[in-house]
Amino acid sequence: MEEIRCPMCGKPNPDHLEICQHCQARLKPLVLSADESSSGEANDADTGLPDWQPSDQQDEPTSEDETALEADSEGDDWLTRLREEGDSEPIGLTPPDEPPETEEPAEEDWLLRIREMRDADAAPPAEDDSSSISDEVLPSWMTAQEDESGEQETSESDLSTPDPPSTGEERAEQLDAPASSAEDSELPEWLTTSEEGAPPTPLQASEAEVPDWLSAPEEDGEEDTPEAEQPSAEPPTPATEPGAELPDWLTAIGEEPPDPELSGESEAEIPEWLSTAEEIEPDDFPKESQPVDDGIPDWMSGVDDPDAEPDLSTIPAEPDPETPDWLSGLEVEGLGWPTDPSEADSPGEDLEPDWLEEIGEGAAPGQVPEEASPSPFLPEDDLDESVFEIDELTDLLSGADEDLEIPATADDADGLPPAELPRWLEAMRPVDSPPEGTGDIDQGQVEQTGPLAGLSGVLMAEPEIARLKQAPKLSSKLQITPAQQDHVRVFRELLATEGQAQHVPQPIVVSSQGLLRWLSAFFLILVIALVVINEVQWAPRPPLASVPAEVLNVSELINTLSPQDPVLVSFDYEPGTSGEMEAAAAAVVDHLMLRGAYLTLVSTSPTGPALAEHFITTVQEEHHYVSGNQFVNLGYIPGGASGLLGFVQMPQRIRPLSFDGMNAWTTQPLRGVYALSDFKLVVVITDNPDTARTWIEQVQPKIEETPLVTVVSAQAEPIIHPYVGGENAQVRGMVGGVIGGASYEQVTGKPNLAQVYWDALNFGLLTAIAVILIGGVANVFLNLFRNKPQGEAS
Amino acid sequence: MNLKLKSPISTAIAIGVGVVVLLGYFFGGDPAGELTTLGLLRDFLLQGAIVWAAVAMLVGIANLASVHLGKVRADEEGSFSFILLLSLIITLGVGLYDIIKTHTDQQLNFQRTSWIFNYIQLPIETSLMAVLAVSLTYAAVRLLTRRLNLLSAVFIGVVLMLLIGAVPQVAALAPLFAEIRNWILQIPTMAGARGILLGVALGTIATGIRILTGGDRPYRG
Amino acid sequence: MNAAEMSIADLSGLLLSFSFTIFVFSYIFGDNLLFRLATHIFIGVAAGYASIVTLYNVILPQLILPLLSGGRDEMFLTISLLIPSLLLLTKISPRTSRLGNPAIAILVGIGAAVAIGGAIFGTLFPQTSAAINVFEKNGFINGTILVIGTLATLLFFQFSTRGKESSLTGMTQVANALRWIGKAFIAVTFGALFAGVYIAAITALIERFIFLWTFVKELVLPALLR
Repeated sequence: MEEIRCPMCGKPNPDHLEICQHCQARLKPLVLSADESSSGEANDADTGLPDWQPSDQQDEPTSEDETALEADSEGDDWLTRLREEGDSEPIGLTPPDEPPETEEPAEEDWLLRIREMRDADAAPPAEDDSSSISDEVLPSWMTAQEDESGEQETSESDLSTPDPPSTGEERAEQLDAPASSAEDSELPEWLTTSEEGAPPTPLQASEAEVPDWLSAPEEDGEEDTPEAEQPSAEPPTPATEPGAELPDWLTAIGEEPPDPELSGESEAEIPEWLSTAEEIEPDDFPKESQPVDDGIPDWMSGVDDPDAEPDLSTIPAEPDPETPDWLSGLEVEGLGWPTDPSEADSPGEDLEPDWLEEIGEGAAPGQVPEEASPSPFLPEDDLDESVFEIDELTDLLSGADEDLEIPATADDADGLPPAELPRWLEAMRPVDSPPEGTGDIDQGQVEQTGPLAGLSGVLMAEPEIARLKQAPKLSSKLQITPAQQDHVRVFRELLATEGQAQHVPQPIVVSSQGLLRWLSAFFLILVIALVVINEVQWAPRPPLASVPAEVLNVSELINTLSPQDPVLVSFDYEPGTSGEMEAAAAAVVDHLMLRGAYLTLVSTSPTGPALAEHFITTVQEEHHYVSGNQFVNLGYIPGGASGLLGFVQMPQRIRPLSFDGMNAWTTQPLRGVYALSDFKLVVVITDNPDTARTWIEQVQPKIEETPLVTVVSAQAEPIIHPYVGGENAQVRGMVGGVIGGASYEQVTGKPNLAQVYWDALNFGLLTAIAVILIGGVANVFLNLFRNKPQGEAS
Repeated sequence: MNLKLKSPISTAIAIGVGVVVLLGYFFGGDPAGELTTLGLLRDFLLQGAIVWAAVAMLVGIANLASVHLGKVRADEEGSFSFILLLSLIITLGVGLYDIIKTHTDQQLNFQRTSWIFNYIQLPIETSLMAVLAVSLTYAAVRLLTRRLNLLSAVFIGVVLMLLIGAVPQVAALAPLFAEIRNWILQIPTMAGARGILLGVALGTIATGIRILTGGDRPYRG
Repeated sequence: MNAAEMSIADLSGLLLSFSFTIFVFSYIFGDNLLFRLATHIFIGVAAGYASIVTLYNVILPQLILPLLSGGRDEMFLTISLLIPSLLLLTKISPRTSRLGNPAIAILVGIGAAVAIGGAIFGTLFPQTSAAINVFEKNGFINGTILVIGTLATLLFFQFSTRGKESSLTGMTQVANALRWIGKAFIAVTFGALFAGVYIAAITALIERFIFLWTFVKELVLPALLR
């Protein structure tokens, strides 16, 4: 029992059923007659698989088949749609939306009518079984093509097919087995037939699949279009009877001369239309035609042409932009195919339709018009190289409106023949075509061109797509509006001012602060200068009773020294504080010299040796101490704490020579001294609390009973104070700053360098305190006045 | 402890040298006062530290010169860098001449170097310290304009009291200010300074231990 | 300072000193060319002078002269000192800088050990002992202030964690109070340091004005009055 595969759900059904038992879809087309529908071949065609699916029974799908596949898959839709609208109203141009399965019973009439006419014109070759099998699924118009192509057999494909089945039996053997076994065949039989180079198509088989409207045009075309009569003179053409409903372009399809490529190209993978294009010399094609071939139906190329012949033969069955090229090619071929059979001998020329020739007339062979491949940008010659320079960008923007270029449209292109709207299409318009100008495309109000001309509110994609136009020249220059240009100008001004130094007005507050700074400096300097210049001695010396204990301790320790006792004196201060340190240490060193102590000078600062030399030879010049006799300068000990500890551990190894190059340890001041503990007193003169701490930490624990006293700057005094104390303290005595030096002078009763500073220090400190207090108060008032307006303003 | 031995040789050297010197503090000499091996090793390292510290200072000065030489080449404040390099080179030249002269004459002959020191370095550095007085005066004035909290009030109050107490005429006229100054220096200041010293000592110990255990390696680079 | 008794070198030196003093004082009116000129010259001269002193006072007697005229032991000792010194010199160039790391490590190791010993024996033990014995010398009140101030300041340095307010226990509240007291003592100490620095700076200012006035009085004015 044979089965029918449901076209909807794909499930097998018994042969006798007309409606799928699974999905209730119709299994047999309504247009088929009872005898036709009962044939197994017809069942094969209705296996449920789409017609365009290749069948296993076919050897290989060819490029022609692929072309037909695309055509069929899309053609089914628009054909069905066309069929639907053909009965009720003039041929609709709306793209097909519904699948072909939704065929209406109303189609039966016209389909049957076509079938009847086909039956009447049935050719004798229909006797062959195999041909009848193939013709069942092959449309009649295609059959006509095959018919003619089979006669000519001039294509390469035919040559490439080594042994084309020439007889019906052979074809039947090839077709029967796959047809019965391969229900999943994807290629329709009519394609198989065409692949096999089927002989002229029997119409009785094609009627099963071909609707009436497709058959009718073949006949109608002869009536309406005289051009179509010539091809119709070909003997096997069935379209000899006029049809009333179909346009003659469809008739022309049936009458078109056999295309050698179409008929014989079974092995080539390139679609027919493409292979045709390949055969044609590239130079023969004007470049403007490329957009046409790229998907725009050829028939639409003449839409805009008002002079186009309003022949119904030029009316495309489907004005959908997605109309396949093969159909467009067929349509054009129907229009301009050479009637002289001799012309068909040269495939390249034959394949070139009239419209292509017309287009090609504009361009000489071998020459490609500039409009052929318009670049989206301006040619390099037209481009200003500075456009892409950042610095010049604003200039470009500023002049953009001047350089504004309106992209050229296809209307400007010469040589493109505007299409003429056919009469029947003119009649389809719901309203009269609006007058020129009313259908402004830019406004999107009324469609001006195409079949939808006169309709308002339609999407404007059609004219943009359908029109043959030159690709617009796109300028690389920006198109800006005047408002944007204003913004650019403002931005340029901002950029220009950015590179210029702006004069920042000094706020009043800053000037007041600067004034305050200058005033404080002025008063401080003025008072000190006056005191120094006048050499006043108004400030009372510190009373002896108020002399700190640490200062007294130093004096007492020095007083215990005997003449020629070795004393180690460290000059560890920087030149910056030399004034203060000299004033503080002058009395102490003077006291040491008065006691006749031999001094050994050392320093952990590079500048210390020079300061020590300067101190001994200048500040204490009166004692006439001589290097090597009363004092020796050991110089600089680098390394900080490490160097000091090394000096403590092995002084003779660390400092073998004096600063002036003598063997220090053989000089009088160091006689009998082998370690630091041999010194009777260690005096550290420093302005740095860290240096003082290093001496205390590294040296004091090693010198055992030798007392260590310090003469420190006022800035180091607070930190060193915890080390200072009585008999058991690490630092037995301390003299701090000029005040300590003055106190020490009071103790020794001998005015020294501290006295020089005393009055200046007295008035300088008074001035400083006054400046700080007055300045602070003034600043508070300034802040108040400054904040008040801000607060009121806020 | 996370020991990342990125520079194992340097770390081992630092740890070994540090441990030797530290142990030398305790076991550097025997009861008779003679140096032990540890003491000898410690002394050698201490002597070397002096020499190496001197070399390190020269390296630092060379680095300073190279930096300013680069600035001169790059024309980045090149004029002042050139002046700096020029003064450095002149001082070095004069000093080297003095050194050679001292050794050839077998007597101290550093007059030229002392001239540079006494007439250029000393006055500039002292003047910089003097300008600091003006800046500190202005800073103290500004300090009063800030919003004073208790601590800043204590700070500025102590400053003013110590300055007032240091003025001889004020101390003579109002000995109370001098007594207050002495008390501030003797009691609260010493308490704070002792706390700071102890904190610094503890921090020094902690940092030293970190170095000696390899936890801190400032010699990488 | 008498111009007639002075050499040209001393006179020019004094003029230079006077000029540089004025250059630096111009900073009172803000940073300027003269100030920057003086400071750059100062840096160059100070670096050069330190180099000369180091070369003359340390490198020559410790590294160069023993190699030239020392005995075998002294030479061996000097060579052992010279090798790390040469490694240190590689620090001059960034390319060879890594070679000097061991020498730097020696210096760091010695310095760390010396600092630890000095901190322990020079500050930690003596100052802890002195902090304990403050009552004998300063009385109860001052002694109490000294102890509390020392501990509070020490706690301010050492107590660095801060818990949430809600989880404050009695000990942490006391510790926080001590920290605040420590801050107050540190403020007092810094105030004393500021006053000391200020006095030192004013002393330096006085010293400079004494120099300027001496220069003018003994060199400029006689020249003008002459």
